[in-house]
Amino acid sequence: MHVIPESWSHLHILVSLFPLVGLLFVLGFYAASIVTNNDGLKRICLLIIVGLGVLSIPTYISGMSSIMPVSERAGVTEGLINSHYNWSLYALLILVLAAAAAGYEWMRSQNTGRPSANAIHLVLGLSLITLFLMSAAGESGWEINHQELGLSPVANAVSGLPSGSDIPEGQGTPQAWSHFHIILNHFPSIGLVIGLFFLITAIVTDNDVMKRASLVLFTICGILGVPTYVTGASSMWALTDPPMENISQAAINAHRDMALWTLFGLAATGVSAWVEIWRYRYLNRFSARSLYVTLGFAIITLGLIAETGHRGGQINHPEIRTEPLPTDADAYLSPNIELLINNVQWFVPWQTLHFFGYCLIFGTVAAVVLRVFGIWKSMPFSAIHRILPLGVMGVVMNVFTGMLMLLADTFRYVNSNAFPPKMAFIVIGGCAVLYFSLSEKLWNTKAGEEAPMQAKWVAGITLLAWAGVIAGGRLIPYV
Amino acid sequence: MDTTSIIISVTTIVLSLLALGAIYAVMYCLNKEVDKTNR
Repeated sequence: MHVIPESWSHLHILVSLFPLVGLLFVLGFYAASIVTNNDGLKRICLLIIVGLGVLSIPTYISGMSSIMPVSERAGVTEGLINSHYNWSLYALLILVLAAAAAGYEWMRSQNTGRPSANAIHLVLGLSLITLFLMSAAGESGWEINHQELGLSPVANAVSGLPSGSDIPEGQGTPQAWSHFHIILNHFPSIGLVIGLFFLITAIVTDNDVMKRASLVLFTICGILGVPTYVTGASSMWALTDPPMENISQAAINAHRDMALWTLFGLAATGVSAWVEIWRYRYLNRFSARSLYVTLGFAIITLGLIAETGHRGGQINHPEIRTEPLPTDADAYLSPNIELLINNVQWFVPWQTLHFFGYCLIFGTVAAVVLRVFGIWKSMPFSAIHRILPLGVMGVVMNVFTGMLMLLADTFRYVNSNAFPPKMAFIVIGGCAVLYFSLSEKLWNTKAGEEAPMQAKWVAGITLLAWAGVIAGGRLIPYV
Repeated sequence: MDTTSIIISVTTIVLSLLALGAIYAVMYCLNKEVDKTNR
């Protein structure tokens, strides 16, 4: 693992993400604490916001110290650096104010254990302003180091197509995917760090709301692993077809191999977390053994994702490189899996399992949706809730088999017009499953009772999303 | 049937049976404890 920064620029890349993506996740927990009125969780969130405020110091110092090495790169202008500096300065100042208010309220509420509503809302407001300013700071920071994001697809960018591709000339992979990947890949990584902190604190303080919120975050990280991996494949084509100066296919393959293991790690963490959310409904308690299993998966995945991030950073951050880049692009697992799965003898059997997965997902969704819409009203929702693991198992099967099928011809998949909506529908459908697992009103819908209107809307969206996933997959070869 | 067709068919059948076994095993393990409750 390479988690120890070896330069100011390296430290800045690592630490600057916490006041942005980290704050977003912490605000998710903060919102959960307000909705459930859980004072313990509120106070932990206040403490973490103080911690993020403290992180503004190394973020600022490492940023200032990175100006010199970064400004030596071709194309980096004073205007770009000033824009990033100004947005970051405003964001960090408001973050320090939010942290000061959070720290004061945490200390004030130490005796009573109950933070005041006014202070909670003040910290929330300041944090939301910080988040907005940090988003602008992050975007202007990426513009400094990733100037390829402004490039248009090159007219003859399909010279090196793998066999079987029939994309017409003039349709290269848009850099928008690289942009999306750069933003998206920080969510599972920072999400795991924040989730781990909350889960460990929840186990120590025996706070069930915090345990549940941590498990929800791990499930979301698992869902986000899919679009992160897929947009990574798109970025590879955007950066290598045609080849760009200083972009090494071998470095990309090293990153892809570790990303593959990370995808499996995120899936294992997300599924084990979701299973415990599901089991809680019936057992009314969290099993310590299951929580430790999820904790173990999350720690292993954090190690994998740290190495994946480091290898990804090596691709286009020459200012943090301390060792020469790899040169042999074929010496990695991913290109060899591509060769293997391109063979029809392997593609067809795995595709068969992919269809099994769809049947499990769609069957489960159909049963849930029909009950929520009022058919099978003689059954309580808790009876339908029992079959949710079948659908989740279908999702797991399809993430694995779908990833293999994607590797058979990544260029063709990622450049199909049907593929982006399919991926978006997977995320929407995955998050909807969380709703059916978490909604108290729906869980308490007894036999003969009508499901809440909110659940009907979610059910409709879920049905359309998973139908869209299947239709999108079928349309890939044609549109 | 040529050799390729036989290999594809056998691999597909074996993988399908493994998947069915995995689905049964996972559902059995998950529901064993839950079935003891009243819901």
